Amino acid sequence: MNVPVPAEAPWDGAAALRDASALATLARDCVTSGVERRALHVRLSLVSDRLREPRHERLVREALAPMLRPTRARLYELPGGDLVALSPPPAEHLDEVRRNLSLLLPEIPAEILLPVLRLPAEAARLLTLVEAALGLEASLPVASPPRPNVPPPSMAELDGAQRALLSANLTAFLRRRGVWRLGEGDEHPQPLWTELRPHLPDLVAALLPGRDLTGHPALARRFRQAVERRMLAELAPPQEARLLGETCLPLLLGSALEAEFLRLDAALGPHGRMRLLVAVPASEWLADPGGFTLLQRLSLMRGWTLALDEVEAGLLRAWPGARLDHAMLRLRFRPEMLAADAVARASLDAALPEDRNRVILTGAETPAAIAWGWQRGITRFMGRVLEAR
Amino acid sequence: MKAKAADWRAALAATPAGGIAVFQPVNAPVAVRRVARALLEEAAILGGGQVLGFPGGDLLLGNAAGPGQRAAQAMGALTGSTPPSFPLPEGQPPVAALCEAASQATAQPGWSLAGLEAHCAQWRLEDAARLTLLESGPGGVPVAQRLGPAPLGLDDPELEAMARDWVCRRILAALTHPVERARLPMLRPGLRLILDLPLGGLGHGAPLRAGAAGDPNGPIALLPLASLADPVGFAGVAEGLRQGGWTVGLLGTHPAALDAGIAPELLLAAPAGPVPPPPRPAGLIALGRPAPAWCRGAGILHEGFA
Repeated sequence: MNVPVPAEAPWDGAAALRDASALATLARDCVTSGVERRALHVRLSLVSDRLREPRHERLVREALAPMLRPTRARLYELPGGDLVALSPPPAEHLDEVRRNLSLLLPEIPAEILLPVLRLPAEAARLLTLVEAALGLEASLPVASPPRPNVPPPSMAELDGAQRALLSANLTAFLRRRGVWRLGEGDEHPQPLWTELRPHLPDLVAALLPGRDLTGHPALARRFRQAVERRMLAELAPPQEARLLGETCLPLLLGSALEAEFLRLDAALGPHGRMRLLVAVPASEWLADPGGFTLLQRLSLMRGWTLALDEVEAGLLRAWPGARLDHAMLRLRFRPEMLAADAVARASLDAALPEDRNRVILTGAETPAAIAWGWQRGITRFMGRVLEAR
Repeated sequence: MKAKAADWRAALAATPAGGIAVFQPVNAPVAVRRVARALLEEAAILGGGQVLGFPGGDLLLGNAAGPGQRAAQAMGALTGSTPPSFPLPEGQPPVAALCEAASQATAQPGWSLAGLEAHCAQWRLEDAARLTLLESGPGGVPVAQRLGPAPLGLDDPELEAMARDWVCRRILAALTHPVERARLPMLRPGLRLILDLPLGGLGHGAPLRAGAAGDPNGPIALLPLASLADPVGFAGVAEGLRQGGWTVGLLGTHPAALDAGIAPELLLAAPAGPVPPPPRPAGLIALGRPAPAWCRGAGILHEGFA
């Protein structure tokens, strides 16, 4: 059922992800409607790679055929390679299929390799295994290692770093990542913008050796702004600006109101500005509401798109003002969002802009993030799971 | 200075008939000046002409009227105040007067971080701390007093916020110091206290208790609105303050802060604009004097009308 994917495709998990998402929905539907189903879970992810060649996969599918052919059963392929065959009761061919499969794959006992689940009674178990296949386990928050006691820079040191940045060459420090569109019906993600961002930790190490800015937000902002000014100065000459294309620039409010950005804005011209997305942290509104209002009006007047960046679910709930009209919103995905209860889910959904094309889900490091986004109509993503492998 | 003066006179005289002069004065945040400058320069490219910079403002001398007029209208749409424009050559005398004044103005000094930090550390506490009296309703009788840092009036809101934080810490330290305390403005007995706090609240020093927890008329602690950027950290700081008997409020730097839609259990102090914000926030402290008429309503603390 999967269309072969060309080797150069950046991401080939879309079909499996869609299947996982559909299976989770179906499991929930079974619970609400009480409809019974039998699910045969074929845990091919347990089988060693040696046996997982195309010939074997064909044999597995042939072995499943008696169950699928005569009934309305459906086969779902999960990320990671597991298969789930779902069939309405009495599922008379299920035992036969299990026997065939365990003959085919004798290394692992059938009760481990081929568990059978009954819906709706065991819907929770099925949902758990779907979530596991989506990479939830891999994305559980990892406690960061304790930091050695590194002091922040003095103001004089920060002044020095800002001066050094006036003439630094940032080329080696710039990182490019894609902003993608991936709808439920799409086989491959489509690039929308390329995000251009200076890699701050490397710059801190280079310009403020032995100093640490974490835990000092005001100093970190000052440093970031000086870096962004320099990046904008490098982008603003007309011959550079012409090359920009569909670009997303994450900027602090102060950087977006600097002369360097205004020069870039002028150099881009009307067509270039239409292709530019400027993402400013939502917290910048709080620090300077007047400046943010000015920037928002400027974006409407000049024709580039403004996005509220680094929006956390908690912030959106505590401060609905973060949902500024006309602006786009870059919502940061956190694995905890999958575990949120119905109330928290509903309040977050209500706080999102109704036009979900205005939402970009960032930090999509696992397929679970994509599935979470799809459940609320979000189809624009950023994250490792979408980047070329 | 003399050469510069001759420059603008010559340029003004050389602008062809049918041209335009647009003058954007410096009376706003530096970002407004930068945006205005960019728009004026664009007009100079589109219509021919040049932009001259003065300590007190920027002047477009445009050879064609259209682009200059559009730039002036754009500034009006962006900031709410349209810079004056003059057809040339008829407008030469008023433009010359504006240039004369703008070249005499003193530009704001550029601060280094180290310089600003040193200034805030050495600033006489008597001058750095300021006591403001607040009224409620039209009565003219003070009911509350705010102790906080005197504004530096910097054109960079971020530097102003850093300076505010540094001075707030000095005021906090002085409040619990037997000798330094005498250098702070004398608090008036019987008036509700509003105390400006730095980003992290009272910090880890000796807790400054305000009274019994839960008193709705207890003293008010004002945290910068930017504290909300860290919702979890802010919740902890706010809860600690409430336990110590404080009522928690947020401090915005612009009338637009009143549109923030923040939680109703938090007070909000911000400069009051001429018109009330659409849903009038409960628990508002209107900053700025004279307070606009809509602040006369019950329950709004303000700095007085006269």
